[in-house]
Amino acid sequence: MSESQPISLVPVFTATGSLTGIPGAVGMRDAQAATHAADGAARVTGRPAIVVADGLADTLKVASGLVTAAGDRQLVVALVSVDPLDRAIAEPALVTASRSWVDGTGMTANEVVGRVASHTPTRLPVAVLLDGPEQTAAVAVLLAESIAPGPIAHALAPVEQVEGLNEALADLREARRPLVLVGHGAAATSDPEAIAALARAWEAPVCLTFAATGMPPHALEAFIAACADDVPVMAAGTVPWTEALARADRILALGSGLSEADWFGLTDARVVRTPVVRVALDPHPDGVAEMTVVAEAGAFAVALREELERGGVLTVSGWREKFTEARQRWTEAVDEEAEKDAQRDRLTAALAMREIVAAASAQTVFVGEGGASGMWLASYGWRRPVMIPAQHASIGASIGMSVGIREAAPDLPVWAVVGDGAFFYCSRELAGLADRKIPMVAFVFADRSWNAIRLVQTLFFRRRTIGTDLPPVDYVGIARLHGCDGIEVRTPGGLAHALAMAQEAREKPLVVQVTVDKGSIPFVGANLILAELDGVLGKLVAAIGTSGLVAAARDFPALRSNVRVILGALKK
Amino acid sequence: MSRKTLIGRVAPSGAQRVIVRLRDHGVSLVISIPGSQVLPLWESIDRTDGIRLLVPRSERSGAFIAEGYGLAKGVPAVVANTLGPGVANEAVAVASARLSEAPVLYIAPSQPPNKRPRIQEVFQGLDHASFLQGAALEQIACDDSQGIEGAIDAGLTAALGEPSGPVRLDISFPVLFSHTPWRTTAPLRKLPAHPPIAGKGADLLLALESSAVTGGGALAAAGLADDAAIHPGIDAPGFGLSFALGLRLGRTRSPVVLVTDEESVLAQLDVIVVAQQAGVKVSLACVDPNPAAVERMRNLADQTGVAWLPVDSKTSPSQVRESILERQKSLTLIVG
Repeated sequence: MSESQPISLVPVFTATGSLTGIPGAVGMRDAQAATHAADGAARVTGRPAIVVADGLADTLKVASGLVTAAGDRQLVVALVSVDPLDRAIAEPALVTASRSWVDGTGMTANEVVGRVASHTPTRLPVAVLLDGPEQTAAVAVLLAESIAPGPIAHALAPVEQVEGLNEALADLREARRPLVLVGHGAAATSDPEAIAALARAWEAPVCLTFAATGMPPHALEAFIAACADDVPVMAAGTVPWTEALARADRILALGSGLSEADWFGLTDARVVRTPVVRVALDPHPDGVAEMTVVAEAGAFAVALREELERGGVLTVSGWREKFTEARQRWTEAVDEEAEKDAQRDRLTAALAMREIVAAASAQTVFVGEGGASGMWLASYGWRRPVMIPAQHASIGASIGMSVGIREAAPDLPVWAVVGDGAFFYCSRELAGLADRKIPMVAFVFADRSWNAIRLVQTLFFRRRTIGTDLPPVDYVGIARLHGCDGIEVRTPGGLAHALAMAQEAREKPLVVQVTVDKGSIPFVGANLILAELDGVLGKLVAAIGTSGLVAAARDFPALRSNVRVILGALKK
Repeated sequence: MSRKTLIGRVAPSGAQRVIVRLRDHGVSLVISIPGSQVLPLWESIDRTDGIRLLVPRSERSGAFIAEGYGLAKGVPAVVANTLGPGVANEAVAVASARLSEAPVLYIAPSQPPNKRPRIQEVFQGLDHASFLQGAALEQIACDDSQGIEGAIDAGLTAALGEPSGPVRLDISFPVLFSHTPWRTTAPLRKLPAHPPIAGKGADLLLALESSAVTGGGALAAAGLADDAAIHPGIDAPGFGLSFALGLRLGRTRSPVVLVTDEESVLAQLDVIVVAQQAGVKVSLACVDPNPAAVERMRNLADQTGVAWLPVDSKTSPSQVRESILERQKSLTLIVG
C-alpha cells in the first residue's frame, strides 16, 4: 500500500438538522451537495459512502444528486425518510435515480443493512426508504460500522469456468490492431499489473474511459506505474484516444459499462464500429458489445495473456508504438499552446490550467465539472486523479464532491476547478469547510460565459452566441462572505502568487478567481459536445459540411485537430 | 433580402414552432439553463418578438423563480432546462409547484425514441417521466413535429386547470432541430383563466422564506405582521429568494418583500446576481437586534451591489413598512 492510499472512513453526510444521533456525521448546508459529497467520498475510496435525509425537500434533493452518482456507478447509499403523504412524490424520483431500491419501512436496522449489503456488488447507488429520523440514524450508524475496508467481495467462479471464455479468447487472439479499454470498474479494483502485462504481451495501447480517469488516486498511481513507459495509456477525449478507438480492429473493454460517454459508441457519431468484447462483473447495462463475459477483469487479462503466449500474437508491427508517439505529440501540442501564452505574458485558460496542474503535488486530487472548465482540466490533468462526472457531464457538483473527498481522505489535498456558470450550485458548502477549518482550493475559471455552450453555438449555430454571456461577479468577495480566503488573478505572475498560496498549509478554503477571456475552447471535450448532439449530429454536419465545421473551429487549432479526427472516423 | 425574411421563408424548426405557439398563448418568459439540446429554443426566442429568455445560475433556482412567476402572473412560466441532470435538478421545485398549485410548464428535450430502451447507457440519459412521475401534475410526450402545437396547448391547459400545477412536456430533441413544413396549425385554444394571487393589500406581495419565519419577530419588526404572506409550496428554507424574484417578475407593479434569514440569503446569492441581470433592483434591510448580524448583512449588501435600507431593529415598524413601500419596483429582503 502506498502512503497516498486513503483511509476508508465510510463517512455519513447530511444537511438535515433533524437527523441527530449519528456520530461523526458531516453536516452540510444542502442535501444535494451532501449527496455529491458522498459521491466524492465513494470515488476517492472506491468504497460506499452514506447520505441521509429526512423530509420531502431534502429527499428530492438527494434524488437529484443520485442521478450523477448513478451515471458513474458510484456506491452511494441514500437513507431517506418522508412523511407517508409525500412518499408518492418522492419514491419515483429515488427509484429512477438510484436504480437500486430498498423499502426498509417496518424493518429492523439489521434487516435493512442486510438488504443494502446484497446490492453493493452492483456498484450502483442504493436508495433506502425508512420510517423516520430515528430509524434512519440507527441504520446509518450500523451501516457505517458494517462496511469493512478492502475490496468488495464478489462470489466468483474461477475464470476458466466462465461461460463464453473460450469463444472470447479465440476472437480476441485474432486481433491485429487490438486495444484495451479500461473502465472504472477494472481500474478501481482489478490488478493493474495483470492488465498492463496483457497490454504489453498483446502489443496493445490502453485507453481509459472518462469514468476511469477518476479512479481512486492510489489506483491510478498503481495503474500508471504498472504500464510504465512502454504501454501507452491514453486519457479519454484526447486526440490519440479518439484515434486509437477509431483504428482498432478489436476492443477488449474491461470493467466498463460501455455507456456512450465511456467510449464514444454513439449512434450518429459512432467512431467505433469495431467488435467489442466486454468483460465485467455486472453486465448491466448490457452495452453494445458483440460478446460479454462475466468475469473479473484482472483474471480475464491473465487468461488472455496465457492464451496469447500459447498461440502467438498477431498484432501488426508498430501498432502500439504509433500511440506512444501520438501521445507524445499531443502532450507537446497542448504544452505549446500554453507556452505561446506564457511568452506573451497573457493569462489564458490553457496557460492557467497547465500551471495549476504543474503546481499541484503528486497527491493532489482534482475535481472537475462537466462544462468547459472540466474540459480544460482533462486537457492538462489527464495523468492525475481527476474526479469528474463522466456519464452525465453534470455541472455544479465539484465543491460538494470536494467536501466528501476531504472527509474520506483527509491526507489528500483537493483542488477543484469550477466554471463561473457552475460556481453557485454548491458554493455555500465552502462555508462549512471554513467552519470546520478544512482546506481545499477552488479555482473559479471566470470567463463570464457558458463556454461549452458557446462552443456548440460556434460550431453549429453560425457563431450566434445567444444567452451565453454571464455578468461579471466578484467571486473573491463571495468567497469571503462564506468565510474563505480569496484572490483574483489576471496575469501569469498573479497566478504564480496564488499557486504559492494554494501550496501553503491553510486552515480554510482558498478561492482563486482566474479571470480569463471568454471564447477559449478546450482541447478535450469535442467528444462530449458531439455526444450531446448524438441523434441530430449527422444532419447538422451535413448541413454545415465538413469543411464548414473545420472552418468554424479555425480559431481553435487544438480543437480543430480533434474535430478532424472525429470527422474522419465518421466518414468510415 | 433581410436575414429575417429569408428565414421566414424556410420551413421552421420544431423549436420555432414551440416558441411561436407559447408566445401566441401569452407566454412571455422562458427560464432555461443551457445544454446543447435546448439551443434551438434559445435561438428561436432570440428571433421571436414578445418572448424573452432568463438564464438563472442553477436549474433549481430557475424553477423556483417560475413557481413565483406563475402564481403572481396567472400565466404559466415556462422552464426549459436541458435533459438528464438538468431535469433531475428541477425535482424539488416541481414538487413545490405541485403543492402550491403554481401553473408552470416544464419543457425538456428528451432522448429520441430509439435511445430510450437503453436510456441508462445513453450520454446524459435519464427517464424524465419516471423520475418526476410523483412530482408533476401531468406529463406529456411529443415525438413528432406535427404534434407540437397540440402538445403546447395541452400542457398550458393542464397547467392552468383545476387543480393548476406543474406540467412536464418532453419533446424528442431531434424534433426541436428538425425543419418541417408548417402545415395549417390548429387554431389557438383559449386557455383556462387562472386568477393571479393577491396580497391582502393590492400594494404589496409578501413572501416568506418558510412558514417558520412567522415564529420570529421579523414580520412584526417590519410592520408586515398583518399582511397575507405566501411561501413556496415546499415549506423549507433555501428557495424563498428565487420564489420572490419570480413574484417580482410576474407582478411588476407591486412592491415584493421577502422576509428571510441570513443563512438563506447566503445560500441564494446566485439569485441576487440573476435579479440584477434581469434588471430587478434588490434592497436589503436587517431588523435583527444583533449588531454583528446587521454588520454581516451590510457587508453582504456592499459586496453584492444590493441597496441597503437604512432601518434597523430600533426603527418603528410603521417606518420600516413605509420604507419598503417606497420601493415600488424593488425586491426587498427583510432579514430578521
